[in-house]
Amino acid sequence: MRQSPLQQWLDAELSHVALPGLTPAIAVSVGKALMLIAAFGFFASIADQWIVTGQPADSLITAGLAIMLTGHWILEGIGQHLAHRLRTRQLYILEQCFSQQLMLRQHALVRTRPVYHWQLVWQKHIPAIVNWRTDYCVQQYVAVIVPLIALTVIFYMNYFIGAMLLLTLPVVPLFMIVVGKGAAYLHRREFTALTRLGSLFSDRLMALPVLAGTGAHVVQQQHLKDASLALNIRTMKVVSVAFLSSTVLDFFSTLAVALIAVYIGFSLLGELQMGPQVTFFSGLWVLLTTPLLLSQLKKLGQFYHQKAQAEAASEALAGLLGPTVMDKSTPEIFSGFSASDFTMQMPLLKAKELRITPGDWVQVSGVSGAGKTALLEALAGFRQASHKLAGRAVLLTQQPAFLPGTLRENLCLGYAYPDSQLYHKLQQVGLGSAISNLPAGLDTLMGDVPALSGGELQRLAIARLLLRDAQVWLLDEPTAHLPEDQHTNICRLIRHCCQDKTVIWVSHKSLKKDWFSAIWHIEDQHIRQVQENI
Amino acid sequence: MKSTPWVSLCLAVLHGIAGLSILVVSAWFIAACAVAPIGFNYMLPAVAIRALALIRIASGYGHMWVGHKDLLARTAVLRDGLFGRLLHHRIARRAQLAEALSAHTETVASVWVACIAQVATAVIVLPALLAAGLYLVLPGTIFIVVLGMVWLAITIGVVVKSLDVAAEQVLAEQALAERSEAYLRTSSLWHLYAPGQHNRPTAMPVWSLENRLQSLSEKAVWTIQALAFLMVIIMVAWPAAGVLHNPLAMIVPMILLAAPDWLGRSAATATFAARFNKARQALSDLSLRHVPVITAPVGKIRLQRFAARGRPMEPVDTVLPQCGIVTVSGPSGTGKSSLLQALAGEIPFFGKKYSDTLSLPQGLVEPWLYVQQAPTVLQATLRDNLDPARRCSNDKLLEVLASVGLGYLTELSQWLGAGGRTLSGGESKRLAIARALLTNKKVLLVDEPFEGLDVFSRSKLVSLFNTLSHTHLIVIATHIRASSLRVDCTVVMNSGLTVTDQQASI
Repeated sequence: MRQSPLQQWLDAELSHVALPGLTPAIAVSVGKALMLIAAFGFFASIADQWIVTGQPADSLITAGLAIMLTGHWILEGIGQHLAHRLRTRQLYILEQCFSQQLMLRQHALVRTRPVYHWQLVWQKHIPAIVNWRTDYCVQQYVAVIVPLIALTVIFYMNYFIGAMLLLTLPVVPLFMIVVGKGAAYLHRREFTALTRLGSLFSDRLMALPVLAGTGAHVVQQQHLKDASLALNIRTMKVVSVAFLSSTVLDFFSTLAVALIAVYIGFSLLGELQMGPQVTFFSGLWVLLTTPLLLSQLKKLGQFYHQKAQAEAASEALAGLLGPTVMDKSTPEIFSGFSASDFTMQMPLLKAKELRITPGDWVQVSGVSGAGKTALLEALAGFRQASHKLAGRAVLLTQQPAFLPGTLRENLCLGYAYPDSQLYHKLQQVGLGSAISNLPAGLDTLMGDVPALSGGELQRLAIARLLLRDAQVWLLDEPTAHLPEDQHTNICRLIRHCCQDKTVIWVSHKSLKKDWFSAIWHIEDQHIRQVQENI
Repeated sequence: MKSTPWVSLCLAVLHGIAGLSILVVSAWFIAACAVAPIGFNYMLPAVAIRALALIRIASGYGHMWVGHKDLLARTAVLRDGLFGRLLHHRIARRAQLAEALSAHTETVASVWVACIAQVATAVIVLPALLAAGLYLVLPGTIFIVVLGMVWLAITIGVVVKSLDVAAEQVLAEQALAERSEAYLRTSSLWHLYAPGQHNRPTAMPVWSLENRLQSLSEKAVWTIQALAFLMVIIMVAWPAAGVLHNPLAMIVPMILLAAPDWLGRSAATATFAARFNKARQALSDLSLRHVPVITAPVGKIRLQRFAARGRPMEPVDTVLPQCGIVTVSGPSGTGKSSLLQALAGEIPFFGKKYSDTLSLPQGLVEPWLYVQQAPTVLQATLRDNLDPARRCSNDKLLEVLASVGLGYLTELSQWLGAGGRTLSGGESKRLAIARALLTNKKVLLVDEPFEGLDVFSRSKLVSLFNTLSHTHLIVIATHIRASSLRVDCTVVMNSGLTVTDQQASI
C-alpha cells in the first residue's frame, strides 16, 4: 500500500524512536473474521440439518460452531486489549518526544507561542495522532484483507455469485471517489464562508469586553444568530453530498444481501437456473458472509474523521516530536569560546569569528528584531546553531518568572541550600532584610509576598542565579521594563556580582562602556565583533 | 430548548429495524424455499426483501440528514441562549473557555444523534422481537427475553460507571491544566533546575481515563456478544422441540448471531452519558462575573485610596481633569493596566471613585472606555469592527478611519481576522481607538498605545491624542515617553517592598 503523506510525516518526525507495530492488531482482526466465517459455515450446516434433513445437529459440527464462536469472542477480547496497549504505549512515546523537545529548546521554543497552544498538544494533538494510527491505520489493512477472504469463500461456494460480486464491487470505491470529489468541491466553494462563520461564536465570546464597552452585545447576538443560520444552510449543502458516501456503502451491502437472498431462494425453488447447483447450506453460508465484504469498509468510514484530525495535528506538531539533534555533551567547565564561521538558520545569523575568553564581558547590540535574543538562546544551546558555549551558563530574561510556591522553592528549584546561604545571596541583592522581616520568611508563598516591583523581582531572580554558581551569565535585557533609576541600580548590582564571571549582555539601554571587553553588533544578519579593549 | 426530534428518531429506528429484518427475512426466505411447502407464495417475501433494502438505504440517509440538521439547529439555539446569558457578564480565562464552550454546546446538542437514537432503536426493537416471537411461536423466544434483560442491565451499568469516570476526568483535566500552565509559564527557569528534580506535567492520567471510558463501551459489546453466542450454542446443542423442518427456527439464532451489531452499539453509546453530563455541567457551572453598566455625569474624576481588587498595587489618590491627557507611569508590575481597568469598571475596585461629585459604584462606566494593550479585532467586516453596535453611517466610519491614520482602509465590507485581512499590531491599536471614538465616549483609558509602534505611527497617534484632548479625557498607561504628547498631569505608580539600594550597589 502506498504511504500516505501523514504516514511519511510521522516516519520522518519519529525517525529516532520506534512506534509499536500494527501487525498484531491487524492479524487479530483478520483472525476474528476468519473464525466468524467458519462459524457461519458450521451454522449453515446445522440449519441445513435441522430444516432440510430434519435431524438434530451433528455433535461434531455443534462443537465446531462452539469452538469458532468462542475463538472469535476470545480474539475480540485480545484485540481490545492489544488496541488498548498500543494506544497507551504510543501516547507515552509521543509525550516523551514532545517533552524532550521542550527540554531541549526550553524558553526559546515555549515563548514563541501562547501557553494555550502548548496545552492543546496534550489535549488534542497527541491523542489525534494516536487514534488515527490505532484505529484508522489498522482498519485500512483490515478493510482490504477481510473482503478478499470473504470473496474467496463465496467464490468457493458459488462461483456465479462470486463473479457477480467481483464485477460490481469495484463500483463501490469508484462511487465513493466521485462522491468524495463532489463533497470536496462543495466544501471548497463554501470554504471562505465556512471558515469565517465557523468560529464566530468563540470569537465573540473572547470579545465580550469589547462588545460590552461598545454596547453591541444585543446587536451582535442577533448577528450571531443570523450567521449560524447561514452557516447551517451551507454546512447542510456540503454534508448532503458527503453523507452519500456512506449511503453508497449501505446501498451496495443491503442490496447485495437482498439480491443474493432472492437469487438463492429462487434457485432452490428451481425458478432460476444460473450458475452452479445451490443448496440451502451453501446459500445460507454465502448470505451470511456477504455483509463482511463491506462492513469493514464501513467501519473505515467511521474512522475517517480521525484522518482529518491527525492531519490538523501534524501541522501543529511539526518539528515538536523530532529527534534531539542538538544534544552534544559538553564539559562542565567553561574554558572560552571560539567560533569561526558561526551560523544559525532560524533566524539567519552569521559571524566570521566570535571569541570569548573566561572573564570577558560582551555587550550585544542591534535594533529590535535583529536576533539578539536568538543569539543568546543559541549560545545557551536552546536553538540549533553551528556552535554553542561549553560549560554551565545561566540565562536572565526580561520578565523574571516565578512559580506559585514559596520563596524558598523559587530560589532553590530542586537544589537544597542552607538558609544561611539563601539569606547571604538575598543580602547581596539587597532583599535580605525585606524578606527576613516577613512573618514566614523564606516560607512565604509568592502570592502572599507584598507586591514586589519589577526591579525587586529582578533582584530575586539575580539571587537565584547567584546560587547556581555558573561561570557564564547570559543577560537578555533584564532592565528593559524598568524605569531609569532602577535600571541603573540593577546594572550596578549585576556588575558587582558578576565581576569575575563571563557575561554576555543584550541591552537597549545604556551601559557603562568600560565594563565591557567587547561589543558584538548585529546588523543585516551578521554579527561583528567591533571593539576589544583587552 | 427545542422539542424532541421525532422525525430523526423515527428514521433511526426504522433504519435499525430494516437492517435486522432484511437479514432475518432473507435467511428465513431461503430456508422456506429449501423446504418449499405446497402453496408457498415466494413472490411476496422476495418483494418484501427488496422493499426492506430500499427502506434501509433511504432511512439511513434520511436519519443522517435530518439528524445532522437537527444537531446544527440545536447547537445554534444553545449558543444563542448562552450568549444571551452573557449580557453584562464576563468569563474568566476567555481563550480556553471560548473554545471549550463551543465544544460543549455541540456535545449537548449531539446527544440525540449520538446516543438517544441508538438506545431508542434497541428499546423499540427488543419488545417488537418478543411480540413477533410469541406471535409466530418461534423456537427460542425465551432467549430474546434474556438478551433484553441483560442489555438493560449492562446499559444502566455503563451509564452509572461512565458518570464516575467523567467526574474523575474533570478533576484530572483541571489538574493537568493547572500543572501545565505553571510549568510553561516558567520555561525560562527550566535550565536552572537541579538535575532530576524537575517534575514535568504528564497527560497520562487524563488519557488513561479516556481509555477507561472507551474500554467500558468495548466491554459492554463484548459481554453482549458472549451472552448471544452462548445462547446460540445452547440452542444448537439442546434444540427445542419443533426446530426440525421449520424454517422459522432460523430466526432467533440469526438475531442472536447479529446481536453485537444491532444491540451492542447501543450499549456502547451509553458512555456518551459521561461526555454529555460533563458538557452540561460545564455549561451550567459557568462562573460568570456580573458587570452592570452605570452612567456617570461629566466632570472631573476624583480617586480616593483607589486600587484594583485582587491585583498587587498601591492605592491611588488623585484628581483627573474633565479634558486633557493624563499619563500613568511607573515600573511594570505596579498595576498601571489594573488601574485603568478598574477605572473603566472592567474589574472591581477598592476605595472611592467620584465623577464630578457622584461616587460611582462597581460596574462598567457608560461614557468611559478601556482600550486594551492588544486590542481585540473581531472576526468580522471592517464595518462591524468599527461599529459593532451598528449605529453609525458609512461616511462617519470613513471619516473616523481617516482621523486615526487608517484612511487607506476604504473597503468597509472587507473581512478582518481568520479568512480575511490580518491587521498589524499598530493597525489594530488604531482600529481600537477609532472604535472608541465612534461610541461617543468621553473618557478613553488607553493601555500602552505606543509599544510596538514605529516612530511614524507613534507620532501620528500622539497628534491624534493631542487633538482629542480638547474634547476628551485621555488616560494613557505607558512606560514610553512620547515627547510631543501634551501631558496635563502624570500619575506615578509605586510599589510596596522598600529596597535599600545603597546596601546593594557600590
